[in-house]
Amino acid sequence: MHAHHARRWSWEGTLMIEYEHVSYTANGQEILREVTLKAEPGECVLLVGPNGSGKSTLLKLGLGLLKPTSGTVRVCGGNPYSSKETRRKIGFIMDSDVLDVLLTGKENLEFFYELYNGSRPESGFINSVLERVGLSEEAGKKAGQYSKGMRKRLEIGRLLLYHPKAVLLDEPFSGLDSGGKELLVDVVRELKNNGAAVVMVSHETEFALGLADRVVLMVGGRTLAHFSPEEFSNAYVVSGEGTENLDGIKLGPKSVIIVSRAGVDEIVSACREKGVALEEVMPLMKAIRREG
Amino acid sequence: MDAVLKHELKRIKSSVRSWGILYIIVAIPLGVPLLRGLATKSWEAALPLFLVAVLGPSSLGRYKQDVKNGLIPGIFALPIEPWDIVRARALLSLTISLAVGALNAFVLWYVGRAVGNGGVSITPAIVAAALAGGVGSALISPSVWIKNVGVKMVSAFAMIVALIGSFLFISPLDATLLAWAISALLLGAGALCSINLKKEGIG
Repeated sequence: MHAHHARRWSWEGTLMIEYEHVSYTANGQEILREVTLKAEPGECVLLVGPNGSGKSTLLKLGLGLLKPTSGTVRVCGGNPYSSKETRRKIGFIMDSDVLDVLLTGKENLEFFYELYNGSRPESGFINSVLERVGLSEEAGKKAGQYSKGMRKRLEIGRLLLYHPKAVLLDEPFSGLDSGGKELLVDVVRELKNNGAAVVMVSHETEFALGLADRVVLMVGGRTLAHFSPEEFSNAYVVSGEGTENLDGIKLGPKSVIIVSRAGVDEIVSACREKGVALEEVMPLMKAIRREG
Repeated sequence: MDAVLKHELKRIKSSVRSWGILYIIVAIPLGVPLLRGLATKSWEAALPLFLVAVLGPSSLGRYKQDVKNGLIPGIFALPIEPWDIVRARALLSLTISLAVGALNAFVLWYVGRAVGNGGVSITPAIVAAALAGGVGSALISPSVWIKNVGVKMVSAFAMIVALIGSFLFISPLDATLLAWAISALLLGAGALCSINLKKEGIG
């Protein structure tokens, strides 16, 4: 576990997704503050945090939908806000679908293929993608008639049309049935193996942790801590008077985050030793879900 | 053909197939000058004005639909710039408007001959009117993409003026000039806002 400023990451190779001291303010409200986050080729970074911590805004900045107030966002070496050539290298699934409901599933994929590859797809290719995402039989239906899960599957199909080098996913599992979730895990793993850097926001940690190489906790528009998936699974929020005496990451005036592989008993003993008037111990994952 | 242009064409085809309402939207401005022409036997004047009005409402409806469905602003995460869409829509609007204008000129000429208005013919004024209408529609179409409420108000106002104007203006020249003036105004506002589209807080 690493506090935000406690460790300087050393990066090798090309950085595919790079946020450098990024701040974003909208309507006078500071949504992101001095965020620095990097993802290397083949790496998956999972962003977690309560609602309103700025996770989705960070992804929108990476997609070029928003322009940072200060700092720099670089994806595959380019600026996604101003360069569509940069966006051509990015794969994404957003919380709301980016599909044309007036067109059929097949027409949507044909359009996306041409946009990303600059040429028409070879005969049968789109059908093979539709088959992989389980939409062969619905290919001729308009996307507007699709269920939420089917629309999400179509968006997964978009990731298979080209070779994205950077992938940004905002709650990609939402709306998918278990088969769809497994399909998404397979596709993201495949993209990672092909060298794509992935930044993902997901509350479905059961699936997301299986893909993640690193977990970044965001709170109040800042990155508070970096964890390995294993550390994150063993992280607890400890609340009570005197928690500042514990060796952990300060979360609030009376709470810290502690990683304990031995579990709650070890934390309780440590609190006793350090004279902490313990009020609550809760797995970090659960605390985030409780916060929304 | 450009991927965005092809996409827009497919959307139009899809809309025409499934939206009966589109026919009504087009039929109203087509019908207004026809009624006016029947009443006054002055066919040419209405052409540029109602053509300006034809594609505005349909584009506005489509814009709203796109926002509702999440396509806007999400589409700009794709390798597309606002200008690509504005250009494709303007080109299609222009083509459709000119086709409708030419068809309408022919219908008016034919109807005029049938009701015994011998003065009506496919004159340079009608051609100019069709052109002005086509360009006007093309320019209104991208302007309604804009989030800015002020621009939408101007668009709506222009459409109302166009419809009322269909009844009031007699001279084809006046009508043509008015259509150009409205178009120029909307072009300015539309271009300005489309350039700033991303800065207007989309997403």
